[in-house]
Amino acid sequence: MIRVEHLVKTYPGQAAEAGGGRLPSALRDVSMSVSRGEFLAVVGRSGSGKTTLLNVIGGLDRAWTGLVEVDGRDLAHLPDRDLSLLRNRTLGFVFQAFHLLPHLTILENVTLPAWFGTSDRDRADAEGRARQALERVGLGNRASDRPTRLSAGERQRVAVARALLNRPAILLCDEPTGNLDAATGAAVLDIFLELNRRDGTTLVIATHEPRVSEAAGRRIVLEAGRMVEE
Amino acid sequence: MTPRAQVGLIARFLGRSRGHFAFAGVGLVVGSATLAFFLALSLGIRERVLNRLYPVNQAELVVETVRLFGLGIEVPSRLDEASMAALRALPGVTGAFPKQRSRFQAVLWGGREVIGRDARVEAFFDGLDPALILDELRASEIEVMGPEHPGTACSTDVDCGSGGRCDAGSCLRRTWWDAFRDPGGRLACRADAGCPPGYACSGGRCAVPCGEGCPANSTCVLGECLRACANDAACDPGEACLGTAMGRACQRLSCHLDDARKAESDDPDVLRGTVVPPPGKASSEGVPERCPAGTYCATDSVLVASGACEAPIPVLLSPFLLEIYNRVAATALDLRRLSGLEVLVGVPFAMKYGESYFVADDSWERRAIRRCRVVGFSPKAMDFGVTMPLAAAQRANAMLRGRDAASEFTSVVVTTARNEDLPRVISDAKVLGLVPAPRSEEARKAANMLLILSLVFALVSLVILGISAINITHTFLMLVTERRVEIAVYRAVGARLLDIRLLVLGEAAALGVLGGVAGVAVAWALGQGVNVAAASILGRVPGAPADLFLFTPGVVLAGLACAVLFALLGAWVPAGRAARTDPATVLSQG
Ligand SMILES: Nc1ncnc2c1ncn2[C@@H]1O[C@H](COP(=O)(O)OP(=O)(O)OP(=O)(O)O)[C@@H](O)[C@H]1O
Ligand SMILES: [Mg+2]
Repeated sequence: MIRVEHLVKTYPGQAAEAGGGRLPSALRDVSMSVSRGEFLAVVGRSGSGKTTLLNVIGGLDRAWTGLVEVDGRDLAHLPDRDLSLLRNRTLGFVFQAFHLLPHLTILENVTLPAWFGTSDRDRADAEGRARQALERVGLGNRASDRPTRLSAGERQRVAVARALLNRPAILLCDEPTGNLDAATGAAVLDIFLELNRRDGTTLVIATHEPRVSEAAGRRIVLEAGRMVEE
Repeated sequence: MTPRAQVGLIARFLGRSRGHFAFAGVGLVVGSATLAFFLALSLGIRERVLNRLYPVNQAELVVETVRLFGLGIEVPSRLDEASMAALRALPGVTGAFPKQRSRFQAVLWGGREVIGRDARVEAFFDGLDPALILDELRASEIEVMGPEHPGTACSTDVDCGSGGRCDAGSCLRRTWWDAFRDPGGRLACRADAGCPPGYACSGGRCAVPCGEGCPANSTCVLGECLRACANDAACDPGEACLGTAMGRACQRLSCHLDDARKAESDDPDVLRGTVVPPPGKASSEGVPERCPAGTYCATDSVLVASGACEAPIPVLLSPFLLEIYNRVAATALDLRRLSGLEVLVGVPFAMKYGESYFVADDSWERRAIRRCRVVGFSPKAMDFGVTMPLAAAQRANAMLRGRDAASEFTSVVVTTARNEDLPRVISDAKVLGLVPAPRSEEARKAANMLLILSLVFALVSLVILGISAINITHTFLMLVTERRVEIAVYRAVGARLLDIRLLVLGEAAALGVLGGVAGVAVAWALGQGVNVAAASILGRVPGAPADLFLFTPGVVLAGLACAVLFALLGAWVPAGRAARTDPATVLSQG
């Protein structure tokens, strides 16, 4: 499902090798793979490169070297049109900061991916699918509220619902429970586990919460941009 | 992203930044309003004021009077057929249309049908070539009378009542452009010098001599060119298609009234007189007993009862004349005011050549009465007088003042294929001793001035639009920064780079359409205001148009298109900036 080989990501101001007052690359020769239906946790200290890895796999970041394949497609050579379609259809994102749009209702936030589909039919039944997704995260009754009126945990669940709208094969989550208290975090984690078990959704979750990484089927550890442990 | 989704998203998000947009859009409104306002004004003035008098590809030329040594001695040069030929030979000239003014005194009476009693006034007239104003007549007829609709079914003109004509089985009104042409007529004479140019005196009347052969469609009958025909319909009114030794040809019917004084009668039946059959023809052989319907017996002079059948001369009036009548004469003389131009169409009147309220009358044998009929209106018609087809005017001048008077023209209108040719034609004509008539020259200067003014204001509006485009750039750059997260989320859920660019440009285009529509509406409203203000100033100027503006679809489109274009230009850079938003960076930040 996901294959990464010799991935090197160097931000401006970083150098391939540390020294001369410059930081080393954010990702240094990372190779890993995730198979269909797997639940992978990416752990590591702050600044170790977890977010960077997820952004590369999700096609949000295009400046890197190496090989990255998602759902059989070579991201390095995918034109913007196809990469966008991949994000729209195959991938779902959940961010630590939720990133809901405050001027839209909950329902409108969840239907957002349907606006960027390739046919008008996508949008026609989007509302029904959005309501289903909201039911699934337990927020079926808040559809017409604004995100500003929700608690942090509720917002993250809306963000999950948005990621689920197009029933993606892969869910990329960057510290989804980082801003939540233990109980709320547990509830969100339960949703992920159910998705993984019942729908066979491939999960890649960056986290430094032991509870999450323990629930995962497999985990990789990053340290200063290198993979130190499988 | 599908186009419909694109439009839907733009529509939903447009209202969100209303404040910013209102600010950015003001420039668009002002700019497109300025553009539409001045475009419509210059079009309106050109179409409604200048072009009616002097289209930009025409000029009226008159003979230049040369003053010798400032001694007040004028050396006249003549404007005649030879000058016409010389003018037509100039490069760029597509036509030379002479005008001829009346060269004798006349009075007219008539108008009882519309003003309640007959008016009797000194008459002035001029003749102009119908070909010159054919298109204009057609246009102004539609303006005054509305578009022509086929009316009730008919089989002949008679079924359509007075003024109507039967066309392909349904009634149409008698139209100005086909009514304004020379109906023909016959002139009595004693010598060639009493006939119009091209005619010779033969057997006491003017005829086209066969000398160098006859024009196409006509045959030589007893030394005179006559039009060949199959039936009366092919002939002028007052003529009959009669058999001759050379086949059937149109011959004007001779006639007489009971009494010479009956020529002053207003009874159409009396005026039709009795037809005198041509020698060797019995009345039964296609020769009517009386002058045909629609014609009258035009006597050779007020002294004699004999003459020839003729149709009334079609004349055009100037709209100025009607306004002066309504504003001055009707009030002062307590006459009925005329509601509009159309009530005058078809009104008959009579002219008596050779009499005057101002100067001595001509000798009795030269005085003659001719009937006329108003057929339409043209700003090119004489302001104080009536305008008839050139040939009719030439015939009248020949009758009273001889061939010399009938062959000299008062002025000539030259037309060119392109407006740019006109200055060169005018300077070439100077060599022939011709200069622009004062009115023509003024119109030309006014047209040029107008062109420069509208160019200046078009430029001003472009500058305003340019400034508003810069304004839009600033506003949109700010908005794009403000919406960084929104754009990044769009990218994360599947928006292409192109989608982002199009969203921003689409918002700008929508802003442009709104600004353009508002701008054109403002321009239109301003125009109405100016019309009202102008009406109080120009109200007393006869012939001033009620609406100075011409908001053609082109003007509206130009206002809209410029607003949209400049909005898009302004949003171009922000759209690029929006597409370059890096979702990875934006979304990783809290
Ligand atoms: N936009 C950027 N420009 C330059 N350097 C960056 C940028 N984003 C991240 N980095 C650097 O790259 C390295 C990896 O950062 P990354 O955000 O992937 O770490 P992380 O494991 O997600 O950390 P955290 O647990 O705090 O979220 C860090 O050293 C960071 O300073
Ligand atoms: Mg991170």
